[in-house]
Amino acid sequence: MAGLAFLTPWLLWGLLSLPALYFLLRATPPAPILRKFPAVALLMGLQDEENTPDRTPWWLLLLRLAAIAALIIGFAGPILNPDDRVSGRGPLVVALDASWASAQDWQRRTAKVAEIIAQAEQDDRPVALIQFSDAPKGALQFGAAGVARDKIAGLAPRAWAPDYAAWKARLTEEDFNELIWFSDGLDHEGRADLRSQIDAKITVVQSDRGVIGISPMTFEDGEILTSIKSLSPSNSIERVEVLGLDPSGSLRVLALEEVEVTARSQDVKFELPTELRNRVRQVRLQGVRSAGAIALTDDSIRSRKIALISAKEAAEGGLLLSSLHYVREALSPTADLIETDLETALLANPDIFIFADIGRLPAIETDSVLEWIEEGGTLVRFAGPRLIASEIGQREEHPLLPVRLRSGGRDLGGAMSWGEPKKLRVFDENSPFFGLQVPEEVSVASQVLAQPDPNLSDRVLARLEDGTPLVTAKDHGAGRVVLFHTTANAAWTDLPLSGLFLKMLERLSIGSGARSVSAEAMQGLVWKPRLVINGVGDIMPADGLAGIDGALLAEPVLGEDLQPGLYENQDRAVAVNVISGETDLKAAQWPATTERLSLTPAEARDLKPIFLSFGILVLLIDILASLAVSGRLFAKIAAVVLALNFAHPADAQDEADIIEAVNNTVLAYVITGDPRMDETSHAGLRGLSAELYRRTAI
Amino acid sequence: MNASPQNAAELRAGAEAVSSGLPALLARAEHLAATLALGAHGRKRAGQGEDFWQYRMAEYGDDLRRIDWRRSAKSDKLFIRQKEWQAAQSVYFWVDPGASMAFGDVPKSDRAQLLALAIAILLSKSGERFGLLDLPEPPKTGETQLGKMARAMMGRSAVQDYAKLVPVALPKGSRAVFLSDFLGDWDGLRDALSRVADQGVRGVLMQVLDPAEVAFPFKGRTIFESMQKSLSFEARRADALRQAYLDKLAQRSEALQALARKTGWRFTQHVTDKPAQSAVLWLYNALELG
Repeated sequence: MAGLAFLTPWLLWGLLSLPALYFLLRATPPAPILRKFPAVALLMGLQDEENTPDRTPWWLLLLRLAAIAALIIGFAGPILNPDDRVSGRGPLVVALDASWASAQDWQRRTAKVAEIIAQAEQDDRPVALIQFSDAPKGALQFGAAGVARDKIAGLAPRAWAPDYAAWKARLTEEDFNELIWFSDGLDHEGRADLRSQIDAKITVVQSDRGVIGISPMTFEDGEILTSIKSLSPSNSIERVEVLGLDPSGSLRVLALEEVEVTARSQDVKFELPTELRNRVRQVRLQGVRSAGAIALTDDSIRSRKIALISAKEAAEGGLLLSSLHYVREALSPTADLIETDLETALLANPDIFIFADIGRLPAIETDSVLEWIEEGGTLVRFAGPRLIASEIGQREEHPLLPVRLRSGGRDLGGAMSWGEPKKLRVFDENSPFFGLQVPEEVSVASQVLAQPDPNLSDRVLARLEDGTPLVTAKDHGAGRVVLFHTTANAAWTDLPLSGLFLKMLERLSIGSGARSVSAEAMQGLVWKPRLVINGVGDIMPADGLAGIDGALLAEPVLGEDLQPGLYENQDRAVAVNVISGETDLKAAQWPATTERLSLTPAEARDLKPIFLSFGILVLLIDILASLAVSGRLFAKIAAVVLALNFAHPADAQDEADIIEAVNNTVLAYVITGDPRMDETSHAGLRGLSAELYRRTAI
Repeated sequence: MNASPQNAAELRAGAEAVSSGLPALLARAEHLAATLALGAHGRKRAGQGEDFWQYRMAEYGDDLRRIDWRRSAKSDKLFIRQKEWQAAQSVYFWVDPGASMAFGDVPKSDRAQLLALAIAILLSKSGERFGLLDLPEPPKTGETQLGKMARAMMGRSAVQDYAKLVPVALPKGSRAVFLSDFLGDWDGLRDALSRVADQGVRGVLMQVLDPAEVAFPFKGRTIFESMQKSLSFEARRADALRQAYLDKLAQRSEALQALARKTGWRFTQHVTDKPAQSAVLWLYNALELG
């Protein structure tokens, strides 16, 4: 509560003397001037016409009263914005929400706590200092204020919400007389219950500053998305920085954006090159120290892991003949490539499988790949001699192929065939490749043909110019299967040699999206915390923390057991953040009747020097004014001016002139400043002078 | 000239300077040439003197030696040749020795002494006798007398605020110059002046005043004190008293004027911020040593 207070208020009673002083000053004339004056004899009989003395002028009176008032107020020790005082009796509970939302002004909070405890010490009240975000340990323990003060240093904001439910059982109204609640400003679950239980005794301390936080990054449509959650009362400008590892492995800012936060959830978008995006580890609000202002990211925005599977090359072939060479070259800059056998690759949980000319798989592998697709994997297959030879998907639709295939392939423009190699048809609107330029030189010489099933046309992503499908796809579970009806190398087509191939692959992998670890995948596993975020937003290695059951991680409720941070199981990571994309911050509501203390009092200002110097200044002015009133001021000034005038050297000449003029008979005229008149005077006097000289004895 | 003279010699020098600046020629041309010759003035009556006054018929009892035989020879009667009574003029100065005269940037006493001495110098040049009224010595002329007079004026130290004018018996026909501020007790002043005038002495009253006394430029609460602090008066608002004071001063001047008119004296007021020369000229004229 801003205001004015006085260190020694009783001195203000002195102000009561002002009216008395007013009459006194009014009645007392200004001090008389003592003058020698011989003609006093003439004055002797005279009566002052004014019966009342020469009154002090009202403004002088006002000046003096102001000076005295300023001095009285000054000595009373005025202080602007004094601290609120907590004054009461009986046991006092100081409770802090101590969640991440209060971390931002934690220093001020603890300072306020210390202040309240100091006041309680003066009043000799027992104090209990608790933190709602810590689980209660036994009953409330009241101790001397000194003991509580020692505990202040041990207070720390937690990265999780207060546990009101647990405290509700411990806090009973009978135990204490007053509870000072340092609210973090957020409406956490269970607060209303706890509050209603002890409503009458609550004094709330809440920061004027709103709560601000940032949600974890997601990757959508080529952009990194995050959003600032704000409860600020006013718009603010925040700097969002995206941090990632640089090539040397140290964390640095990869992108920085200034955002004016106008909404409760303000979206922020970053467009990063894939190389940078892969390095991103966290996003944070610059300069905001709170666990809510930082969000770790797991694999979800990283580029996809792509497993390349090809039939074992029987012979050491040339590199350019390798069935996966062009795919590898196209994908390696932007994706993590896994080239191993299928079984091992499945363990790595890639986002995309690329099968180059793979025929029939063993049933067990087929099942596990299928399962993987259902979880959201994308399988991209390329045709080839082996696929045709394996004769899969010809009689009935194979689960790992989007369409039924016709037996045998199709040769176009070969030595044994009619016709030319076929070019690609322009992609139509439904195709993920829509908009890509089809180069003239790209042609397909051989392909596998799809059976013209009724559902074929829905599954075609690209066609040749004669309408035969070149790329087909079907969704399966959360994932899908894509088939290029030609080879991944240059054997059947020169498509892999063109830029179009690269773009088509990118389109496919972007469309597949990155997959975070699904809830089912977490289940049953023990996740080991690697990094944790503490309440003030520092990221620390999670040494000594126990592993977390995947079930808890799937629907994280943050607490001492599940701290925000990065959890790992083998090479998969899950980030648990304070704020999620769906979080909607709600401000804590307090009844109007609840007493409040300000956490941020305007800095107390001692006004004593101001008042005293004002008083003294006014008294100085009063000296001048008194001099002026009694007529002595200008005498002094005149004396100074005279002294200055006499000091003027030019006067010496003047004086000599005067002496000469006085000693002789001199004709003179007044210089008027009008040249003609002066000239006339001069000429006239000169003539007169000559005539006088001629005629008289002068 | 404005600086207070420190001793008699300085005062004398100052007075010489003032009187030398006077149009002494003019004065001499108009007055001295005829009437101030040899320091004797014709009394427009028969008596001892050098100039012919008249012939009159010899009467019984006239000394035979006094008969002018040459004139008598022209007729049957005996004539006596009478000469005009001639006597050097005695001028008495009274320069107020009171402390009240010490007031002012140019102390009034300085000015009064200066004026007195300047006139005295002129008188001395024309052979008149002069002296101070309150000195026992009879008036004399000459350099010695000038020095004596200057010393006497300088040597006095004021004991009273307002000097009392003690009437002294003056020879009939002598002249008197009163230089004072005439601010003292009026009744005493009037009596003394009347008594001097009654003796058949003609003279001049010059009221020497300081500009402050003429203008009364005071404001606010003021305690006025006489120079020796014998009198004090507290004015709560000096500016309100101004008109009353000026009236009173004018009243005093008028009274002096009236007194002067009654006795055939001349009166003027001299304010010390005015040049001394004009005052000397006026005094010299007013003395009418004719």
